[in-house]
Amino acid sequence: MARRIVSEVTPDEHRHTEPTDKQLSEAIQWLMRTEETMGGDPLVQAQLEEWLASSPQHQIAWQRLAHVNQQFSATNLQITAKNDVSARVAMHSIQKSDAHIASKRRSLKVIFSLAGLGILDAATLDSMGLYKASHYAYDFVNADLRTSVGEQSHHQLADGSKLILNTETAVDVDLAAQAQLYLHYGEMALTTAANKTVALQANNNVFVAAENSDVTLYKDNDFCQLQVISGAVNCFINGETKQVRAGNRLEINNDRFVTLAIDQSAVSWRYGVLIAEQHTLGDFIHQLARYRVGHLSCADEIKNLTLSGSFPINNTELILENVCQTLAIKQHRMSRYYVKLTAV
Amino acid sequence: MAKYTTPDSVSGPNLEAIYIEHSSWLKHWLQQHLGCAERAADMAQDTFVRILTKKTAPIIETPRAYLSTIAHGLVVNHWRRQALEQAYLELIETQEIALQPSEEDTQIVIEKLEQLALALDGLSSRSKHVFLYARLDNMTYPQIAKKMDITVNMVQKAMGAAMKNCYRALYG
Repeated sequence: MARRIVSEVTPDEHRHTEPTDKQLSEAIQWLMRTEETMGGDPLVQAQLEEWLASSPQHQIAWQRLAHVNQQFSATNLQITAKNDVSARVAMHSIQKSDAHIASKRRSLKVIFSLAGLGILDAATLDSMGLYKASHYAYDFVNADLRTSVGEQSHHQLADGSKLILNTETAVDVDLAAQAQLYLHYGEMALTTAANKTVALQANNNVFVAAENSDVTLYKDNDFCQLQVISGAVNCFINGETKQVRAGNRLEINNDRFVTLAIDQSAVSWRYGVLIAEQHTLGDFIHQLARYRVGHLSCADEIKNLTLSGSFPINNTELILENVCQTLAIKQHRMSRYYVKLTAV
Repeated sequence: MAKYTTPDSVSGPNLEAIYIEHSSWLKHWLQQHLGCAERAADMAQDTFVRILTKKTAPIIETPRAYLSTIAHGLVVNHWRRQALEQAYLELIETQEIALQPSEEDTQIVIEKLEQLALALDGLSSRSKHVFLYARLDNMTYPQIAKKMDITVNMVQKAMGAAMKNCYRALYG
């Protein structure tokens, strides 16, 4: 971004004495030469003296470099005899932290410019490379919405759209001319208003929901699932575009994506209901576990039992009782937080 | 009565006004990225301290952009320290580090690692390796060249780049 955000005023006396980059490079060359000769070559020493005498900036660069060298010298870095840090240990730790920072940076909110109301220019997006375009929108109306496990929350956004957060979800909301929602984790449902589009983001994918659309978006690590109940969504996935229409769902695994028919049972949570239609117990328990704190699983010998029904999500204990009764299985409880379903 | 002329530092009415107007926004911005209100408040304070203690006076034209730039740096440093600590503790746990250091020693090591990571930030992996072999393992340039299977000339170049980075970390 070419916009200047700050200008630094350097006091005059500093401006004269600050070594240039070239002078610094020269100083480094001299330092390496003296290191190489262990300071024992009189010719090198004489030439160095000459170089130092020729400019005060040379002397400053040289003195500072000596200080830098001392700061990062082996003796200063090797902390105690008991506890010296080898290059291998340091490199390992630094590489790990670099990777950590890179991944965290990716989770920072990405704001991109939108060309006109609701029209997302794919070329702009592409050339901007989304991640790199992570400048912040300072004047946006921001909101941070979160739900904990088992919780759902409903929101009316200022642009007229309706947002529902499912269990264990985090969404950042930016309301500008173009509303943008960033899904950090979890699942959300959105109903857009008339004449308003909303851009949804999850991982590095962007989904622009058309006006009067009903969609859900789910994200679990590298996996993303978009379901379009009504309306249409323009998707931007890794430089490719794809339109998903009502009645379809899009599944993205890393950068690969596939379009399938909508899974009606996976959108009923919007009404607080978990629906099973000939689901295996294993799948059902996997879904139910999202709404419960603690461990919930079922034994292998019963995981292929199937069940159908609709269950109010707000009472998972009741659902478990109900399922056990219907399928004639039992709950094995180690504690309130550890439940395993097993055959009787 | 003294008039305000071009201030030598930003601590005049400029920063005060910015503080009053933008500190709660900054806290919110930080909380979004850190997920912890208490830490966000601390770091917002650190951000203003950082500006107060700046040697050169910034003329702040767009306060929020400026504040978030500095705050962003602090957030990244916080992540860096967390990750370094975890990586080092993992090495101790998996006994890749032979001796079990005391807690105090461990903290000192992590601090040193943080200094190193900051000083080497932005360098190529090769430059980082060369610098660490030279400084931590006391290897000579020919030894490093052999170990990394590169020429001595390449080692020198990498070392030069690393030294410059360290210089910039201390003197800007």
